[in-house]
Amino acid sequence: MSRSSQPTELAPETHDDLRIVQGALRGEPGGMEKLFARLRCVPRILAAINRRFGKALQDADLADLAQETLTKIWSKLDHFQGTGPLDSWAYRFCFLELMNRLRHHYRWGKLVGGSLDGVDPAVASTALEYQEVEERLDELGPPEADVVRLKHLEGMTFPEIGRFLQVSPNTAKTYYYRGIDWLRSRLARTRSEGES
Amino acid sequence: MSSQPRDIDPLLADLLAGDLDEHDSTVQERFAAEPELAARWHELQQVVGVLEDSGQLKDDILAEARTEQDAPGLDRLDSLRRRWQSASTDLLLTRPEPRRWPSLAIGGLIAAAILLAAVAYWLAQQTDSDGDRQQRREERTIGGGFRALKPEGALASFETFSWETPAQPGSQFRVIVQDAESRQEIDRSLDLEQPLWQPDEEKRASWPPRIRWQVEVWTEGIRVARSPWISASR
Repeated sequence: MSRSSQPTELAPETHDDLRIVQGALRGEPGGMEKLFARLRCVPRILAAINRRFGKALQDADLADLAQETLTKIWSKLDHFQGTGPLDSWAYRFCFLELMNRLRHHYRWGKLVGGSLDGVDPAVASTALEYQEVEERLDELGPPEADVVRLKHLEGMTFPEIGRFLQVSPNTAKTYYYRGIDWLRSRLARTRSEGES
Repeated sequence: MSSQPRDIDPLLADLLAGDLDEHDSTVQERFAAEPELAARWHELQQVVGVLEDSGQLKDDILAEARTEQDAPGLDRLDSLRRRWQSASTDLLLTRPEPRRWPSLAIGGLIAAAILLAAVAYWLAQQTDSDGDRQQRREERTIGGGFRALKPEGALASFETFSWETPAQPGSQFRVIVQDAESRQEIDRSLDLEQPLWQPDEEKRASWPPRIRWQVEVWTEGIRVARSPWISASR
């Protein structure tokens, strides 16, 4: 059952990037310049991911993708809660946008098959698994999906997650268990559908 | 969320949260008495393994990106900023309006473009999803099914790694060893033809006392399965 993907309201955390984002959204003088100085990470992250995929995308395609990804990030910027640096938050957009672009690329089959030149098959495999996990987490929604992401993709501890979510560490652990068990059941279902 | 468990098994929850050790005697007793619980724990560990690998890949990519100087698209940022800035301050509304097309014509063009994009997207989905499904099916056909994974638990040494798996003939195996505390990779085998690995003694001597390891099965360049992480100590 699909759930709302509206992010859980996290407790405000004093973080430079959060101040920068809020300043830009409020239209503070110089706010956009500061934000864009930080958003320079987006083309760089895309370039780094593309390199992992054997430079499957040419520079011109990558530049277009950077622009599209930045536009998407801009539209979701009010969801940034400062749980980590801005580039860490932007990574998910970069990764998924690049994977979506590659999905329609003539080299996608080779990437999935692990035979794309210059690509470590283990990296390709991890990337595909991560993409699937992200899709399932989007179905799951908050707070469980938030906890799983905060734990594994932001590297937070349960007490830290509890503080952000304004719940006890034990509640954070319960959400975590539910999230992992949800992924287990969903991935098993995908597996059995693939086998049938 | 229909497939979420109604009753949370406290043992699995504690194990997953790291509050309980897998090798604790109470855990081992429950696993021995309830094989389905042990199987579920192994499945949960596999999910955690995927997430840990994803987190590691993210860290590696971000570290690389943070040292990057140039990248395609960086030169477009200034024009993008100016565009957003002008849009956000409603400057567009105060500018002289360009020559306007009749609204009906614009509406018709937009509708045609949307229809064309939808058809193109549908066609692309059909083409790609067939290949994608086939590849995923190939990747998942074997699945898990690992048995008799050794070393596991407290041992005198980590001399021999062995396992049983229903992998098809011609498959290769790759063992990955991590420090159990830091989760950093400390060693990995070359591609193995047999389900057996005897790491070099000198290398083993440098390993920490507590490790965790995993074996991957590769067939024709595709990782078709991997075991849960197994903990061992000496």
